[in-house]
Amino acid sequence: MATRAPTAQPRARGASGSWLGDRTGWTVGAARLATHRIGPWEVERYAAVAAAVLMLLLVASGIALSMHYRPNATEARGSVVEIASAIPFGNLVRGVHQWASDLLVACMWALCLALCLRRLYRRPGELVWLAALFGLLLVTQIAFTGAVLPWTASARDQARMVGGMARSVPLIGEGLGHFVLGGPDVGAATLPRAYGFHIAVLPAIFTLVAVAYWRLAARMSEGLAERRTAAGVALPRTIPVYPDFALRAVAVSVAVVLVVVSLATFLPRVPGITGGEVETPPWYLAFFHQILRKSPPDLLGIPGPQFIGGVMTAILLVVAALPFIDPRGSKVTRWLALVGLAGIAALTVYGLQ
Amino acid sequence: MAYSEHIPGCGAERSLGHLTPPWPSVRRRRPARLVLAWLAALAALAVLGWAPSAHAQNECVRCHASLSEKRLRSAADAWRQSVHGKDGIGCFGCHGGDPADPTVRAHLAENFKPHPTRQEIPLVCGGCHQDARYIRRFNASLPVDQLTLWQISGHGVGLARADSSAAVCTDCHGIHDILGQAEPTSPVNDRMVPQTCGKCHSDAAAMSGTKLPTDQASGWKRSAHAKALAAGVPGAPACNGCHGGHGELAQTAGTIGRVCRPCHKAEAQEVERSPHKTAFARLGFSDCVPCHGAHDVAAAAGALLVSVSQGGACARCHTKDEKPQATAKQLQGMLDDAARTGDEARRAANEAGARGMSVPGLESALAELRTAEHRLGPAVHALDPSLLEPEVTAVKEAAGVVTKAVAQVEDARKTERLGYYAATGLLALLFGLLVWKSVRVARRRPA
Repeated sequence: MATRAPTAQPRARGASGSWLGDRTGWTVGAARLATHRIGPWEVERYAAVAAAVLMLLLVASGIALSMHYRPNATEARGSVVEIASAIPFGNLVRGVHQWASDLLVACMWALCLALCLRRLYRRPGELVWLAALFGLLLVTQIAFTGAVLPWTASARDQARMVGGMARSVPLIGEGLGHFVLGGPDVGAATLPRAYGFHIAVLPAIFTLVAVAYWRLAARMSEGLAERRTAAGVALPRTIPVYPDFALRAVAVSVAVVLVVVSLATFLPRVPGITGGEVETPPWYLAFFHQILRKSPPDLLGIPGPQFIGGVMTAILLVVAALPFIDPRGSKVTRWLALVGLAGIAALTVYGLQ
Repeated sequence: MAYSEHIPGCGAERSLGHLTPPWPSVRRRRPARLVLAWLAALAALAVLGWAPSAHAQNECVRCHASLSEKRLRSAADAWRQSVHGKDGIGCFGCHGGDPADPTVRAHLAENFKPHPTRQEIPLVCGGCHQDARYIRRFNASLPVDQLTLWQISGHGVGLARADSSAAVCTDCHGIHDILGQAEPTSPVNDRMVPQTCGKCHSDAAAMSGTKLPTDQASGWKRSAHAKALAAGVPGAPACNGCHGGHGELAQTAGTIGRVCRPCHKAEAQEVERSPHKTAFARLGFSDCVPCHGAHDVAAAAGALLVSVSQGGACARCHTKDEKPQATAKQLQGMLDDAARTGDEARRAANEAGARGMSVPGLESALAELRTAEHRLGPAVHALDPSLLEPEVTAVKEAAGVVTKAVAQVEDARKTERLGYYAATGLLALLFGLLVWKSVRVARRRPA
């Protein structure tokens, strides 16, 4: 008697219900995401997606650039010229890196502004607000340390200006300036220091902050939803995270790549190899530099730059403490944010002229 | 013994007999007493354990700086900022006196000289500045022939002829506030020299006793030399560049060519081959001045050559000669052609740079072009189109290398652009599809 051959058993699915979930224990799947609902136009989410894509672009282009860049005072400028002229697509990659860096700073400004205007710094979003603010400071530092790397005359001027800004911080100014520049003034130690911070220290910290932001933002979102449910308040309209928001996030990512590559192609960054350019600060620090430049030499018996530095540090601390100063999210805060932003924009334009 | 031999710190051991001035106003002193006094002072100081020096103690400055009378105080203040003050060369180096005496008795010293006369000043300065051993203690690169050169200069000869308006050291260098030549505000800094010389040489009253014109400084300000100096071109001459510093010499027709030659060697060589060489020699003209001018030296631009009807350089002499005018026009045409080709190549390079294009080898190609263009200037001095032709060809070839390099990169850029347009199109299409899908998903879902 012919025995019946055993039929092939259907491939059993594990508890997670997905191939990856069985092997990794990760349980976040499409079905789970589909149960989460969010507002359709929450700007901070799109800004965060754009920031993440820009960071990926920066890492990818940065790795490519680091293969040819030589971080020492004698070879840095030559290697940048070599990247721009002799390496295939070198100038395009350099342009992508620089434009992505500028857009990342702009994105972080937009993220912080959205959190402020949408009053998301209130409970339970205090840590989200602090993470976003810290992220903004970090990307500003990443962009600045990157601007020093070509080691041109203007790059050294910018380093000197930022060193001056650091020195204007009260109490720790001298030490901070020394720490930023690797000495009392811009010198051979500045470049390797800037390079180390640019490619390793600051991006590593930013990655940790970014991961923390995503986790905290997700928790905040859940917390807000729970509060709304408990209060019986429903959003007028929501969309599921998957597939609606996921599709939009992919579209934003594609748009970001499109914009960065287009800017790098049509508005390329010419490497400043000639030196002796007009002294202009980086755009994201132009407002601060402009205030310092116009400050009188003496204010209330304190040297002008130190006074301004003290005021700016105090403003930054007040902004960081906003969730605790204004836990209800008053309209005054919104107006102050808008007026402050307009002032910063005006000073930036003025400072770059 | 000359006055300068009494200067403490300058060394009494120097013999200045060969530099005894031709004027008789220097007061002489008996040497034996002074030598004995010095030996006694040295012995006393040796016992006390410190060696004498020109700047070990300066009671003069300490006292004068505290005086309320500005005239007396300002000298001490100015000295402190001066090169002498910074090097510790005390007042007594020039004025004598007793710098160790903190009282007014310091002025009673036998060698005290509050106001050296104009005749004495060059020897006071020269007392130290011609002593190589002494000077090299402070600045090894400082020359020590200033006094000798000044004595043969128009200024030195003028003073020897009892012309009291002839310039001495302090007229150009200042008195107590003497600064090193490298200091930007020093009156003998290259950028300040025209102003310093012009102080007298542009002053009709000061020059009234001479036959010298007073338009040299204003002419120089219009010159190519002034523009080059302002632009920081190394070696660009102010007055002293051609006339010398201390050995200032009025140039005559025979000497001007020799003055220009050290800097403009290539041009001078070509002038030797030009028809001007024999004509100028016959007419007693200088080699360079008839075309370029003297103080208002014109830039080597095309306008210098032709424009016979517009008062060009050639028209100054060649008003009727047909052949020189025709040659000048031919040379001008060739130079214009070369300039146009070079400018076009540079424009292409600049436009490429402005568009962010990095052209491999562009810098060296542009440097070659500049070198070829620089050779045009000397070549035109031969006034022979056949000798200029190879240089014009070299410029065109160098410009061609630049244009070709830019064109190659532009071609490559076009290919890149095509690839970019394709990638952008795909990304834009993907973006459009995602937006469409997103909208469709939202619409299908019941509200």
